[in-house]
Amino acid sequence: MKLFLKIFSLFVCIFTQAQKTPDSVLMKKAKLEIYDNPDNTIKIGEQLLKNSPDVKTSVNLYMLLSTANIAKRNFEESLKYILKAKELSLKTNDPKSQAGVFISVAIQYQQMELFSKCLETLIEADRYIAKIPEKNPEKYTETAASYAIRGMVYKSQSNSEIALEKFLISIQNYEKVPVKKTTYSNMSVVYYNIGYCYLNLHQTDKAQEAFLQSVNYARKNFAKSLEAFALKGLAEIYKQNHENESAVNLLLKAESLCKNTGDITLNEGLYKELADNYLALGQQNLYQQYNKKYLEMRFQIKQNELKSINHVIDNHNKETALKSKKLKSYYSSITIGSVLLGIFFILMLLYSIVKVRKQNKMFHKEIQRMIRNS
Amino acid sequence: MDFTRIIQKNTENKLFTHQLIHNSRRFLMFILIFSAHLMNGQSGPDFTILADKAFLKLYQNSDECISYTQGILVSDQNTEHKMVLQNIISQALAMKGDYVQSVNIFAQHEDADPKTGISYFMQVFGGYNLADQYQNLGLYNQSKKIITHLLSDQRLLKSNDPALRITTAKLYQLQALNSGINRDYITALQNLDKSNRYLSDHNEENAIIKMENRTFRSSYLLKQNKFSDYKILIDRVISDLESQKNKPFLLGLAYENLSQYYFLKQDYEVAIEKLETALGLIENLPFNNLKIKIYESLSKNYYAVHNDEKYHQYNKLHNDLKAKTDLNSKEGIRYLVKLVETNQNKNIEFQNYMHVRSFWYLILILSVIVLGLLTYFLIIKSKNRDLKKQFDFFEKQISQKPQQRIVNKTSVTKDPGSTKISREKEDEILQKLEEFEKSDAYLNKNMSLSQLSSQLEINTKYLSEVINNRERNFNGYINKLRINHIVQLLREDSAFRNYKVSYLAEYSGFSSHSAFTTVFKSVTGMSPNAYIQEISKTQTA
Repeated sequence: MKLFLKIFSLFVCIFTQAQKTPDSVLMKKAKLEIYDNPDNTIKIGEQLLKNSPDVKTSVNLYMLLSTANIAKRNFEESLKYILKAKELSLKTNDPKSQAGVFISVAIQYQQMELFSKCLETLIEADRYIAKIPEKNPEKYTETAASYAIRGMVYKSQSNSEIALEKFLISIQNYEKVPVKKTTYSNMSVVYYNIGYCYLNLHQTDKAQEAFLQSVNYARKNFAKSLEAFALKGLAEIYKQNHENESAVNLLLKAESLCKNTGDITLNEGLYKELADNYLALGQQNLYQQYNKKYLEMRFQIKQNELKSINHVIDNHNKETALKSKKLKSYYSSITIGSVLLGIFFILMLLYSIVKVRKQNKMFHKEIQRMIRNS
Repeated sequence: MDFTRIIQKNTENKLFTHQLIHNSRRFLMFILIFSAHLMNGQSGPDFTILADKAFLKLYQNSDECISYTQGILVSDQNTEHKMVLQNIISQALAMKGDYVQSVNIFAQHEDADPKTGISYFMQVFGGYNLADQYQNLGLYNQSKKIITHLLSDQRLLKSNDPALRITTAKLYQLQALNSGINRDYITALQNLDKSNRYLSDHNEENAIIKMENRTFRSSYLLKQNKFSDYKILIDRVISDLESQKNKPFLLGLAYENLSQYYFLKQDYEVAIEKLETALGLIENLPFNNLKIKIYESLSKNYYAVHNDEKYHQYNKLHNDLKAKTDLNSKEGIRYLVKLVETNQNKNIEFQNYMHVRSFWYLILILSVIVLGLLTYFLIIKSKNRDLKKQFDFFEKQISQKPQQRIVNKTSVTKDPGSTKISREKEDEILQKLEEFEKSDAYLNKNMSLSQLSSQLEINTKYLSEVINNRERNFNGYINKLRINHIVQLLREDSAFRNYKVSYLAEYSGFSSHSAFTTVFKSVTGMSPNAYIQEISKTQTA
């Protein structure tokens, strides 16, 4: 299940890239730092928001802020921005961009695993999609996306039948879109998910067909990592049929395909499958080798996920240390000041006391002398 | 002598207050020590026994441990004890995989932090608690940072307090786990050695941590492929645990560990047997984290022996439980991050509060010193004024001996605007007044302006004006004459010094004792008694 979610994030990536136009260097920088330094992204985002020229950019910025807050695991803030983005998108009268925003919001909810909210938003998105005139390619892409997300939601709830239904509708819609490269990538992803649904339903033949389609569409767009994903799916079928040799062959092919992509999620899956197949083949050494790699990847993924959290904690620690230092220096300076002032007063008083005492002694002596002499 | 007496009084006062402060401090210390003894004496040993039992239950059954510990927690008011107990509950929850609740319990203890200062143990234990939470949630770097900071303190490392020593052992153990996760097995083993150094055999807690350390050591040996060392150690651990029979968690963990050895040796059947034994031990206990591990190993082993049915069964169990705890852990992280933020803000507030408090103490001390000095200064200043008056008075007396004239021509400061008297007239009046001063008529009690004017045969108005030009008023003039007279008498005639002040008052024409004293003091700067004493002293000396 987790794996599908990972695939899904890839999907999101393609999606957002297809929708958003590059705004400025700052925005790009903010996007780049989303997971490494979400605090900075939020700072930049808020700055950009202040002099945002149009509604569309503002909406994009709100979505960016929301994603950055997800990275910080601050869901409340994230939701706040999502709602703002939704509100703002209603001001434009362009059903296409409205639908786009609602789809993004749904993706956000899906990532937060707030599934009912996600489905609700998708229903709202459908209303705006319906307003897009027929035959407009965007109508189909948005519809397809909407159904694909639904499919993901049902899949993560282990509801493969319903998920399959949604994915198939999604594919139908994608097929209506005139040729477009990004569509191929998305179709590959959806087919990959369909394959896993069939696999869960133990319909290996259909699963195989779906994975082959996924490979097909991935090749059309020269998307190596997507192809590797699909190959991994295929290998899983062989594994289930105890054809470990063939599975290993496919997996090794996939491994060579994705060598340069650096996609650790994909690598994790591949290494795990390879390790499993080698284990079944009784090749303990190769198993050890791949299992180690798999564990490394898993650890790396986990640490990557926690990277932003670590960053937030570190930042906060730093801030606190700074605050505490400031506090300390402030108080030590006023302490020194008051001690100096106090010492000054004390010295002044001591000086006058000594002076007056001397005078008193002198008077005393004088008076005694006078009395004695009289 | 008045002056020296005042000084003496003052220094005595200072000494007294100093002693008072000293004493009160000693008293406070005494109360503190006494109350600490009282607390320790009453609930100390009881608490260590109860906490030890709770800690043992942690490895027997999480749910039982939680309810048992909560029972102790309700009745214990000691903040340090509460902290320890809450840590046990929070660990039990983490072993169940319920990280959110675990963090929640941790949060409660933070809320319970009183503003009345934190003991060193609480500081260290609070750090350990947080490091533990971070580790549970996979934030190993944060955990490592905190522990490194805590373990850099020599005071902790050299402490002989058993509570601090066991905490140090736990900190080293956690640090070993952190190193192990980063595959730095050498450091991990070193940390386990250090951990062992802080452990004794005197209670279950120590024994359990020791056993845990041995189990972890064996697993790191396995990771380093030191099979023979590993086998000896793990077999001993298992036989020790088998003989105790009351720590199913540790035994399950050891068996799971052993199964990994057989798995590596490709002896899957034995591995499965060990894992089934481990599962049998904890199947009905809520140690979900250990269960996940066992399920995973079981599914792997069954997969290796091509037992599809069992493989799917355990794989599903593993996936379901793992998904659940992962979700929980994610939420736990969110919760913890927020908690750390609010906690640190609170910490800043606390620091601020402490700074403000010590600052005000300083201000208070400084102002007490300044005020004390100021009061002393004012006292000696007023004394100085009196002395100056005395000095002036005696100086005048000496210079105008034998009989001083108050009213004389030279001292006149004429105000031409107000006077209506001619120069000749004024001279005449002055002449008469001089004669009056030479006589003792002013000692008459009934001497008044009208009487004097009729006696001297001068118009009251004129007389009053001439006198007012030189003295404050008629009464002041007469009083001064009387005091001058009596002072001279006292000096010249020792018999007078033996009289009572009331007689002197009567003699010099004052209506009362107090009026005489007041006027005497205002003229000479000292009281009649002081003057008499002074004079008799100098004359006898």
